[in-house]
Amino acid sequence: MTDLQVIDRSAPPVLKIEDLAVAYKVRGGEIEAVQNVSFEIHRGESHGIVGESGCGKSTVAWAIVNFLGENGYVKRGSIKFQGQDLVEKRGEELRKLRGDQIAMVYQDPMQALNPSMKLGDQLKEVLKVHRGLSDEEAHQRSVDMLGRVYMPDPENVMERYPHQISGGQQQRVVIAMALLNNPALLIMDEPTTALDVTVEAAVLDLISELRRDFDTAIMYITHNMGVVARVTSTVGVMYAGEMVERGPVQEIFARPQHPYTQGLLRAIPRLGTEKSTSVLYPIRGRVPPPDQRPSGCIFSPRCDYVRERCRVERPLLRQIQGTNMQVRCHFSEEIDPAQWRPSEDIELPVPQQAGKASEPILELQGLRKYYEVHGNTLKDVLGLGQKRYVKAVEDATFSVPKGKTLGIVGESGCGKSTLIKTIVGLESATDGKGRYLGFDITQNISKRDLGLIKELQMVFQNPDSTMNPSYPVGVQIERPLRRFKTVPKDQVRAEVVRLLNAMRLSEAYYDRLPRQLSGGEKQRVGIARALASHPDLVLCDEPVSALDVSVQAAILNLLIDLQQEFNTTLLFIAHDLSVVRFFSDYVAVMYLGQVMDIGPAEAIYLPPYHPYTEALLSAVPIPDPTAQQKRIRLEGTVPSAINPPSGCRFHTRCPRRALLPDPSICTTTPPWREAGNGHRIFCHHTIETLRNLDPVITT
Amino acid sequence: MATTTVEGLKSAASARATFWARLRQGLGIVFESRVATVGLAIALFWLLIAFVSLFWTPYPPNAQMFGQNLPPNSVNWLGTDHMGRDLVSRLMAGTQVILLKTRVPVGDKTIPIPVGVALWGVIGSLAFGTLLGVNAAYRGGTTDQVSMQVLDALIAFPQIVLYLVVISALGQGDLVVILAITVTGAPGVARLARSLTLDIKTRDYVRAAETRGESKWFIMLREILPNARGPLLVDAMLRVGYAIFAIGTLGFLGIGLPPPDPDWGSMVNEARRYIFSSPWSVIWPSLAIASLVISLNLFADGLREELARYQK
Repeated sequence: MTDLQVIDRSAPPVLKIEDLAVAYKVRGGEIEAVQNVSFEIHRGESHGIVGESGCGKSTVAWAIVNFLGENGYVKRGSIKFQGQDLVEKRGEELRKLRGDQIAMVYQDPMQALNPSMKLGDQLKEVLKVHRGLSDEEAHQRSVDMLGRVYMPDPENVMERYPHQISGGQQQRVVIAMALLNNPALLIMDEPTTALDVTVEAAVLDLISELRRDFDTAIMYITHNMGVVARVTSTVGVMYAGEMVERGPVQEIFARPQHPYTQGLLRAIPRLGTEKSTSVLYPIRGRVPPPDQRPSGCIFSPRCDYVRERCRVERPLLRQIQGTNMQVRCHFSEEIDPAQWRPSEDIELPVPQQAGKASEPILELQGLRKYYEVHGNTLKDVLGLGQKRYVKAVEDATFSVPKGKTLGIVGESGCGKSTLIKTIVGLESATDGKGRYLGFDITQNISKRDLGLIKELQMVFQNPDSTMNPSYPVGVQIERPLRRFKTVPKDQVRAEVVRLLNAMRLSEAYYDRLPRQLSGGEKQRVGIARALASHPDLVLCDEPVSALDVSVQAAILNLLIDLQQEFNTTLLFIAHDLSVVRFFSDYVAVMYLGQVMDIGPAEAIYLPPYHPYTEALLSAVPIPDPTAQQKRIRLEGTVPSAINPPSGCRFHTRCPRRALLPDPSICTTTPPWREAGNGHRIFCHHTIETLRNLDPVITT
Repeated sequence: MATTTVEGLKSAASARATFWARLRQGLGIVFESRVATVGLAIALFWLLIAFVSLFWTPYPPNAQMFGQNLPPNSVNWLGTDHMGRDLVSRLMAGTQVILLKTRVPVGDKTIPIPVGVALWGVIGSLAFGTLLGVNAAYRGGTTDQVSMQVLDALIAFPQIVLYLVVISALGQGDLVVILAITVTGAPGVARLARSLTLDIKTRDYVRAAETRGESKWFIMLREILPNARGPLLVDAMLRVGYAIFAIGTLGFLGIGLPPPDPDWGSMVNEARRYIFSSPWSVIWPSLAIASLVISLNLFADGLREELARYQK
């Protein structure tokens, strides 16, 4: 948060939570999901709640609005909203309070909006039910509010259904709906997690602005440290159901007091760091399940500074002398993060200077992938209509040297996944050339040779679906070994154990079923399965996006290690630009099926860059509240890939179009411009113009 | 779902250990639900009766050794039918053809093979329907269109008409009844299997198998089917109930399982002419059919509920 805003802390807080404990009744007992949580939010304050998944962030929010479900209840403590205790309230009284004074915005806007009602009716309903306004008044107020959240053409949007507007616009409508009653407290539960970075940036701007204008108290739940740094003024860090640290956002990032917060910040790559010079440090161990929490300090089993007292006595949330920080640690004054060294039992990759670029292993030349669209008109059914295509990948031309990593970034629907699916052979290419070590790879897998198939393997995004739930781990890793006959039959089990060990998993995992594994462990097994055939090219489709940051660090370290050991080439898709920057040697930026900007990783993140890359960099949330970012926001939404803009596909949204002497040139195909060192930009602007742009991020 | 295993894929020792662990867990799920427990108890009761009847019935089920149409009394606990046969013995023996044995004609003799007509019918429709449904959904496109259209056409016929067609074409017999149940049950199973497959085939582990270049049948049978088995087995449980009902219906129409062995449907059919003078010989077999069908329904419902909760 860069704008310093005066928050009146002498006035009574809007929300005051004291010693809250929430329990769920489950088969054979109950589980305390949240314990000893205390915090308060004042008017105009934006209070962030951060933590990894399963640490009770959402449960706190549900406790406030009493949505704990049939088996959950507030076991201890109080939730005071404007002086009234919400825990005691039941039925109609609570319902009115929730509707009038507290509003909530959820992660998925599509689930918050009723798909069978017009947006206007849904907005008006809020005012009619809670304020008793007439239809015309409600309509006018709704239209005003939609304009307030920068919804283009509000009158028209009122008449539309949720599926007719984009995800970012849906979230705006949900926020508008939440603000209609001018609530005293706005709870936001990961409101931008499902959105693309450019859309996320616009929604985050909106939230900061609304907080200033409406003077609402905001409780903002997220797992993303970058988002916290951008929109909150105070942060509470949650771990395993407890709040372990609380303080102003700048202080949390500058001087984290609790070992867990310090660990979290060490686990995330800062934008600009790379694997050849720096290391990510995962937090060892994993979050204990609620029924197995230690009796002493809840973080003690994973803490590097643990002492005898930590194991027996649970620390209280206490104020640090001379600061605004509260921390739940016995020894935080004695801990100096600068003196920290990773503990012996964590294996870390040794940063290595990148070797010389070697032979290209993968070469693409004008690769295209079109999907035919089936229309529903009679003409289309009879096959008489004009054929239309989704142009998912257009003219992809690049090569990847052996042993290097190419990161691919871009918003959802830009063709990243289609590109690697075509390379791996799940789809056959429509046109163009693709060669892997000289072998043709434009055909799909059914036409490929087994020897080629085993060289290209893939790691998937979702840890929950990457493994077949019906078979134990060992069987799933064995399958590629048997199929590709990588090792003789009698050595299969030994090889599986070796692979498991390489993934830092013990032999005991051989007989475990996927549901007994955590997300990070499943992802490790997925990587082991992909590596079982000793492939030379591994395609990773967002392998760490669904993981918590500390687990993400461990998986990235693992991949770096494996790459150094086997000299594997990686194609790495991710939407987190800091991760891509950290992990990749080369980066390709895609927009609407077209590679816009490609080159060495360090070159992509500094001028000259493509205007789209510039906009992406300006949108990415940086986990550093003091960093200055240029503010470039793209207008409109990504056009349809069935009918992409002619010429430069980005020209309809390009913020740098005005810099061109003759903007009409944009409808012609731009040239590839060489910026040196293999950096190529697909743009009408000259390299000099692009080089003179200011860097997006200054720290 | 948890009771089925992947034996043979693992070393025998660990497989045995996890088999029992999973069986215990599977049964644990059943007893979580009162509905499923009641259903299971009634179904097991009938299964027990069937086994006992193989070795012992109070009197020979086909012997006409008592007065006709007697009400329940101390000798014939449930009474006798219009030919003076003991109803308890006939009811007990009637469970066999449904649950325990199928009579296969070989030459001019008939040989009983294990597992009853209702169960074979369900196994048949399960195998046939699952293969069709999984194949249609996984391959998609024309294969999907054609197979589903054929099955839809089959569903469009009233079931009774289908039964009559099959039986009048092939004549009476246990195998024909099995075939009739298979043909009428398969479309429903296929639809369920198809919808499950449409969901499962989008999972990443199916992609992983494809990037290994596995054959389509390997992916369908080894990657997809094991994950669809839970709902399919629950559905099969319900179908056993429907099959028993269908056998009863066929027996009532006089085109069901051939005499002389008693079955519940034909017992109702034969006794209905005397329903006003002596209702007992209609009531008992009807109750038997109803209780077995209901018990299987209860069991399947309870299991489905618990599985859904378990998966959350």
